[in-house]
Amino acid sequence: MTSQTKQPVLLGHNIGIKFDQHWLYQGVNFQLGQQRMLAVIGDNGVGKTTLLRAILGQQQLTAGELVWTNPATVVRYVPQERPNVADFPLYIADFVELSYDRGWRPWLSRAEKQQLTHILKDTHLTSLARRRIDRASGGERQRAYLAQALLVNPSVLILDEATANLDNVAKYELMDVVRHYRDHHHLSIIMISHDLDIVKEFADDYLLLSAQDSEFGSVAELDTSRLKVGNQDHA
Amino acid sequence: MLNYPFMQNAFIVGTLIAIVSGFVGVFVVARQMSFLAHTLSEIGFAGASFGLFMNWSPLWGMLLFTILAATTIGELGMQEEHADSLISAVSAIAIGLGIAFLALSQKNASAATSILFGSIFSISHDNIQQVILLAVLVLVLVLVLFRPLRHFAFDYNTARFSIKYIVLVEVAFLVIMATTVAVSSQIVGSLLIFILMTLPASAAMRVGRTVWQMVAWSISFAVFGVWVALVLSYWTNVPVSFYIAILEAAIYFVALAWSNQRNH
Repeated sequence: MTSQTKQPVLLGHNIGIKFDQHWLYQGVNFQLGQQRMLAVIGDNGVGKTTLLRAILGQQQLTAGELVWTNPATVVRYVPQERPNVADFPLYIADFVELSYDRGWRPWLSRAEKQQLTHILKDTHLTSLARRRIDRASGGERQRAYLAQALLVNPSVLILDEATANLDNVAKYELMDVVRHYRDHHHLSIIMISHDLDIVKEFADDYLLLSAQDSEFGSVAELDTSRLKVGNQDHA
Repeated sequence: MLNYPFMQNAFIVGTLIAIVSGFVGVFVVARQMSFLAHTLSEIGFAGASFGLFMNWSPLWGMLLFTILAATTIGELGMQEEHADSLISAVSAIAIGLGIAFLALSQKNASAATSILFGSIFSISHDNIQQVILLAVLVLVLVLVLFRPLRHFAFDYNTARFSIKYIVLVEVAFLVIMATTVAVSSQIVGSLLIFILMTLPASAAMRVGRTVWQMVAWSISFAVFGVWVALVLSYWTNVPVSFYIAILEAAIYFVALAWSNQRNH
């Protein structure tokens, strides 16, 4: 893709995060290019989610900085877990609609309704709009989470292990939706994944986090042999 | 029955309180804060007896204590993963204080029972105006804040990243909750407050499929329970709070059984 030459959306410069006198990692450099998909990979417990939290402004960096080209960038996060989603039988459309959390008007405007219809279509949920979220399959639920995040037209989407716990078909369907949306909108994506097949198929760049020598590069040049060694438990 | 002014007042105030607690209850239950509603009612008891002690209206004492508690302890409790111990400690202090202020205020036992179990039939004219004012205020707030509250209550996991002023929403929500507790205690008493705040909403959660449906069901359950309870209480001379408790619990169990059956 030629978008590498465009100005990046986010630059991570010499980042270090310290927990209890102990460095998770230091000297991490990366960039998120416009309409690129960046995969954050690395061992369990290395601090991938912590880096996401830093990007979301919920975690202080001990060293380095994160530079947003446009400080007003709209970022949406799809967390790994939703513990209480099975507690109430909301329709999928209503769950997606929760994202409209601004303004005083308790009802939706016409434009918002159109956007909701559009997003449900893009995430292949139109026919499931009136299915209960607690009855939906894992894949349908992940697409509903995705739709909820995309509803407000974010410029950056952050996925935390979105494909974990999904079967192969659902996994590819979800990532196809993400890629399609990325290609048709101004969306850049950061995703944490343990799934190398998914990373190689969908991501453009990778950031391999490790305590000593994190590395950033293009997925095409990703040396998977190193990963296999470092990620026995994810193979 | 409705010719008596005290019954008219009871119906007006009861309906308004049912609407407010049914509405707010949906967010309380969705955010899984029923335990906090319970603690707030105990704190409300302390506040009401403090009000008596100071020779204020118990309602103002309650408002003061619950809002203070909601904005301080509530914030603490929401961060805490296992809030049980914190809650028991706070409840202990609240009930202890309530007993102390009651004893110090030298009021008779009927003052205590009306705080604990409500006094809808003997509500004063001043009190009615205060309750109406506060209830309308809460309703307006909940409607204006409907969008952020909805996201906050039903999907906190993303709301905390997406709502910029999440702490403000949290505090506003706790104040709304505290005011609802103080207002509803006028009818069911501080001991049974969670009945109106959590049972209709919990039943509505089983039945509704959209947030608005849940709100509508919750309000209907609450209003229905209060109306029937008022009539039964008028006929039988047994306290209103007893009937409200039984009716709301019955509605909840029926809703639960109904949704379980549909799930199989």
